[in-house]
Amino acid sequence: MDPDLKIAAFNNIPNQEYALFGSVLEAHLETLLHRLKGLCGQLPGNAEPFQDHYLIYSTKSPNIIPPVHVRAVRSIMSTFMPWRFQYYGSEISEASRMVTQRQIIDACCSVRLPKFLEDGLGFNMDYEYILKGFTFAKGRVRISVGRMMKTAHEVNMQVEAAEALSGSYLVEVATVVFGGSATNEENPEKEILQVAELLKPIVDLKRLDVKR
Amino acid sequence: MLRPQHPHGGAGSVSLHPNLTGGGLGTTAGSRAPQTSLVDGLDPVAENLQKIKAAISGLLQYIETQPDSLSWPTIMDRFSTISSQLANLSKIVKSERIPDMRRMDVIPFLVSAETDPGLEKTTEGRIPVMSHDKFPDYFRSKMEPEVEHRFQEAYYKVPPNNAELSQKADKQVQNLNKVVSALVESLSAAKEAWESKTAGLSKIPLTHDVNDTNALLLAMTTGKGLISPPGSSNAYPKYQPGFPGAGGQASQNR
Repeated sequence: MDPDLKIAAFNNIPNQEYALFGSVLEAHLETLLHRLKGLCGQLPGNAEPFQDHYLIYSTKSPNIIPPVHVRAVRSIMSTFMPWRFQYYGSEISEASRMVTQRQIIDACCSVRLPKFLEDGLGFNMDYEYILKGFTFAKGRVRISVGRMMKTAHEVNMQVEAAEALSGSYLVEVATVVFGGSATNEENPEKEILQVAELLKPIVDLKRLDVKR
Repeated sequence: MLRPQHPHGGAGSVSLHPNLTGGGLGTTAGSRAPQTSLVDGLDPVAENLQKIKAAISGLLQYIETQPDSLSWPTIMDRFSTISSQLANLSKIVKSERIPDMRRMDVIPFLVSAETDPGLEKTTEGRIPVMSHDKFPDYFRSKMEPEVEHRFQEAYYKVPPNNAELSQKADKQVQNLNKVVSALVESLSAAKEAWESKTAGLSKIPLTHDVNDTNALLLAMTTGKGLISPPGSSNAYPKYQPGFPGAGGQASQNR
């Protein structure tokens, strides 16, 4: 589980996530991990393996336009971890900015989330995937390097990772600012860009552009 | 007025012909060019000189008669006029139509103490008499003895061409050259090494693929590549309400 994950209560001002995305070819994964280990130090929680199952749901009703997408996430490695509910708002940063900024709601749930979303709220599952990799934390910045896998369902209803979607590992560098506004001392955008600079040229991190 | 330049220098080579009749001055082309073509060629030069003279006298008159209304731009204007005229003159003198005046002898035909109206007219009243007193000033092809003497003095001050000294200097120059060439060599070697190193670096295959990045992000945000095409058997895996997983166990643990 993400060591740096900060779980916020629902408040009026949503938390903001600042993030950059990229990918690294499998052949150079070791190089990247080595660099990340060097950058982030040997603190516990670094280079921690994870294997998360993502389920993406959207609203069933055609009346709600655009449809609301939410994600249900759980760890496959540890069955003691609760389900996590994630909601990402649309990108609000201007095109000239270097970093993706968007609303984020990330909360742990005590209920079995898929059942609650489908039966209780009327969501439909769109797609699912498994992200398998390693997480790092540098300061308040979380870096995850993971491979996106398609899911395979076994007879006993356990979900397992099947084939990989691509030959590359997804790299995500993100930090969350609570309450939406950064104080004067924090400059989340700068922190993200600094980390991105340190990972060059192994990974070319850029902002999320859904249009692409 | 022409400044005679004698090719051979030396006052002794200026020959005097007091018995010859005619004007005060005569020129003879050392290059044996016909005299008429020389005179024709000199016309534009004289014309230009007249213009320059007029410009200079105009400027002087302006300065002397209107000292109160002097303005810097006007004076600069006039100066630029004169300078362009001078440039023009030097162009004419250098042109092919003008014979090389350096190679001409200028010989005074007559030196006399009496007023020469022809000469006076030619020189616009500046030289009425071509006397023994005047003509060295106009026909001099060497510097005045006094000036020459001062030049000599200056030359004496220059350290003599000492063989030992020059050898020393040569040695130092050689040493410096050696050092500089060694430096240049080492620098270029370093540059080459650096360039080959960076060239080798750039040869390392890319560690990331833009297409892969885009595919992964699309999959994450829209499910592209994850959603099976409709109609296939395993489209939309359906989770049963009793979906086993962490959630159930977690809630049981609470």
